[in-house]
Amino acid sequence: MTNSDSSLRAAAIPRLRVSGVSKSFEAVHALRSVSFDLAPGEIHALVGENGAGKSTLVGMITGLLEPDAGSLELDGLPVRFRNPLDARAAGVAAVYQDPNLFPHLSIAENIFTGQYPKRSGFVNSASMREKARQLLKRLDFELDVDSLVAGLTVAESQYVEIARALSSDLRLLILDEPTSALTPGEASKLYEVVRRLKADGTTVVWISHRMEEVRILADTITVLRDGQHVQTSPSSELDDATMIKLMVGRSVTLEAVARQDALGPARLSVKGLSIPGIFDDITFDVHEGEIVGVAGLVGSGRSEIAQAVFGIGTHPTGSVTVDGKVVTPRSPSQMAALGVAYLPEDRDADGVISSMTIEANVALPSLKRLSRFGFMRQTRERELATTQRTALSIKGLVGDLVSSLSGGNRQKVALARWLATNPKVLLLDEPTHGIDVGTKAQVHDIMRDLARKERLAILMISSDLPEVLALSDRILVISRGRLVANIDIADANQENVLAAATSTRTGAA
Amino acid sequence: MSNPTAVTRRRLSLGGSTSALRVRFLGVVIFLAILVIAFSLLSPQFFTLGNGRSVLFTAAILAIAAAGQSLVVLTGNLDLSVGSIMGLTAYVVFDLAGKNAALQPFVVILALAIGALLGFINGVFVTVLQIPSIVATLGTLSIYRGFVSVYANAKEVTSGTLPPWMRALATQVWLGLPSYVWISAVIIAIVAVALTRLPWGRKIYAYGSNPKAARFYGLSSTRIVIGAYVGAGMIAAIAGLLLGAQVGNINSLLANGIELQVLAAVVIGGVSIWGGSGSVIGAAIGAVVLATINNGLVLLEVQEFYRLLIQGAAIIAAVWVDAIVQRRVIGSGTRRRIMEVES
Repeated sequence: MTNSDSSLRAAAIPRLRVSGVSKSFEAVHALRSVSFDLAPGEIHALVGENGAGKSTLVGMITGLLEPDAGSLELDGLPVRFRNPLDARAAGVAAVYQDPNLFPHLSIAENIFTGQYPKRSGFVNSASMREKARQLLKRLDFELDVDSLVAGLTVAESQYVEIARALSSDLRLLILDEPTSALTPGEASKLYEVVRRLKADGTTVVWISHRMEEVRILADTITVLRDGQHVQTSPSSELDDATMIKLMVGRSVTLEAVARQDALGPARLSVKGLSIPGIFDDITFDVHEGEIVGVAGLVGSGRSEIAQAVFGIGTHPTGSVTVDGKVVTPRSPSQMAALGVAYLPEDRDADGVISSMTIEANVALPSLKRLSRFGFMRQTRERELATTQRTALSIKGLVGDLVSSLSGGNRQKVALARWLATNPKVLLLDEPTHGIDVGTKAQVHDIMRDLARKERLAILMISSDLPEVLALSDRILVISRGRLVANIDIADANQENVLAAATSTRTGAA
Repeated sequence: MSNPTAVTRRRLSLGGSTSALRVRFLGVVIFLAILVIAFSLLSPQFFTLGNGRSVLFTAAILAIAAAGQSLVVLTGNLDLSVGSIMGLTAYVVFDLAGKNAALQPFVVILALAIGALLGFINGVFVTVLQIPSIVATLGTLSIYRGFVSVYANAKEVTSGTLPPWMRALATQVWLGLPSYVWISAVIIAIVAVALTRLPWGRKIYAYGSNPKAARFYGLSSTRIVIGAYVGAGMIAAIAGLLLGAQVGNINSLLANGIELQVLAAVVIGGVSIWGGSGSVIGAAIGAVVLATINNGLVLLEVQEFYRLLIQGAAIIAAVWVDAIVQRRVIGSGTRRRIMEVES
């Protein structure tokens, strides 16, 4: 590569120029004519809400997706990559939050698959291992290159991916939410690696939701919103409040509704709940008629706590009491029988069965109640589905396939499914994640009614701080698997909740 | 490795999946050892040179076919048409060579060409038409067999019309072992080297291990899977040729139903039915295991039912172990530590 040459032109020619790039998926405009520049040797943060088009943009830069319109220029030359290998050959690579590696193969092979060092047609494994060792060393990372990728932590897998990117002459490295599954120690090590790459002249695109991280790393910040480019500014010229405002596009206000006065008895009590390495010594109560919000960063262990209470995954130690009865959560069916319902975060994967009708989905957990002599009673099934559809104002007919519904309505179907079982305790994981504003307000109203009128005990996990503050009677804050704060709503505000969530109190230190 | 604590931790956390993969390979070797010891104790005729030769001879053709099948299974697919490819190739090649003596020196090349074509057709169905391999090759199993039936028109290729050198090969003994055992060993060695040393083979492992990652790596799934089927077809064709020469009089039902034996050998030999791991040597040992079970139980004059029972149990046990290993490998790959590791 012509290093001296490119540094001469560095000031004038951007590392990557994105001009007028658009992409639609069927009727949805994922990106609309996005244009901005990445300078050589900078750390460039790309921020935006979920669905802002960040991943689509990355896909197009790395050749995974083809733009409908627009062009890319790498170091002044127009490029169009046909696939990620093509992009990598030109020195453009991406590392995702969930590394895509081959678990059955060795670290060295994972680094060199598709670009093996060869000797007369055969893979030269000695040279492959030696080169892999050197690459990992450049990252200041010691791993046995012969060991399998299966068993590596997410952080270690990311280093393998970065090492792979380094194996060609790396000009642009994109990191998509790289620290969302890392411990603070692992994350700060990654910051170092990124700074070192920058010093070598590589441009790094850093996609993240963590403000503090963007703040300490980025030289430049680009904000995307609803598939459109909003602003690109030097990091020093953009304060946090402005950045959030640009991302959201409106100043965030959710009306908090007056709390009800009397709480009932504790429906769910959790004492000293622990799973080694995931969460530790979690204790809280949820009362009848109460909404308890659970705040914390993605990956802090929030979902795992709710899942443990619902009997999914590794069995925790500690005690869970439902309605005064001590239980050991072993399976979802056991907990459902006790009146506990859990609505998972990824509803397409875990929450609804999209190839079935609304009716069939709603009836699924209530099959036994709906059948006589082991046969389903269709009229009862339809009745139940119709009641729930009306109650939650789900768009579409009960006979429609769930796959034909929008995200918000799918979420309502998932909710309806559990409400049909008449639960006493509702565990909701990101109930409004990725659904439009109108439906979001409806879901909020439904939740308030369920707590205040139906007297359910609700535990709501959410990354949406305004939502947590508007709906909760009490807020639990989880950080790194520990319950770091239990704040009454009267004392809670954005600042103290966020401060608790980002506190990095670690057991080891 | 200057930092001893880092290395120790690495070894601890990796222990699970690496050793799980190793255990699966050792499993089949230990199983074979147990069989040999048990049969030796139960029957005095079992542990003799002559009987050993006979077991290896029976295993030879199965091991070749299993080596081909391994290529496909490693990509996470199946080839149920292997028996039909063997039968079709043997019948057509020997029929042509019988009618036209000038073709006799070229039977192997002819067979490889036919096998490659049939494998290519399988591969196109699975990749281009996106038909699940179990259905696609179930279809070609019938189609290829149906083609031989029509082609044969109820006639046999008789042993007298086979190339004499192929007839002779079937009964030859080289350095104390049947020629087929040597041929089998050479083919398995070639496949093993291709899989472990050629980029072609490494890509098969990579694709089978994680097809989604293969896409991100820019590997062509179409090329990899078709390549595996073409390889498997060519190897099956050779197996068919050898079987035909051994049998002598070839009818349209040659090697009918052998696919279940072949798949059993592959699975017992520790090739993961989910793709991405296992070795062709293991598959060959799987074939020897099946041959040993057959041979030992015949010597013990045990009913056919018990043979099927033991074979079935071995298959289920092998896949059960495979399932445990797969869970470990996949599970550990997505495991996340939320809290700092306490030290």
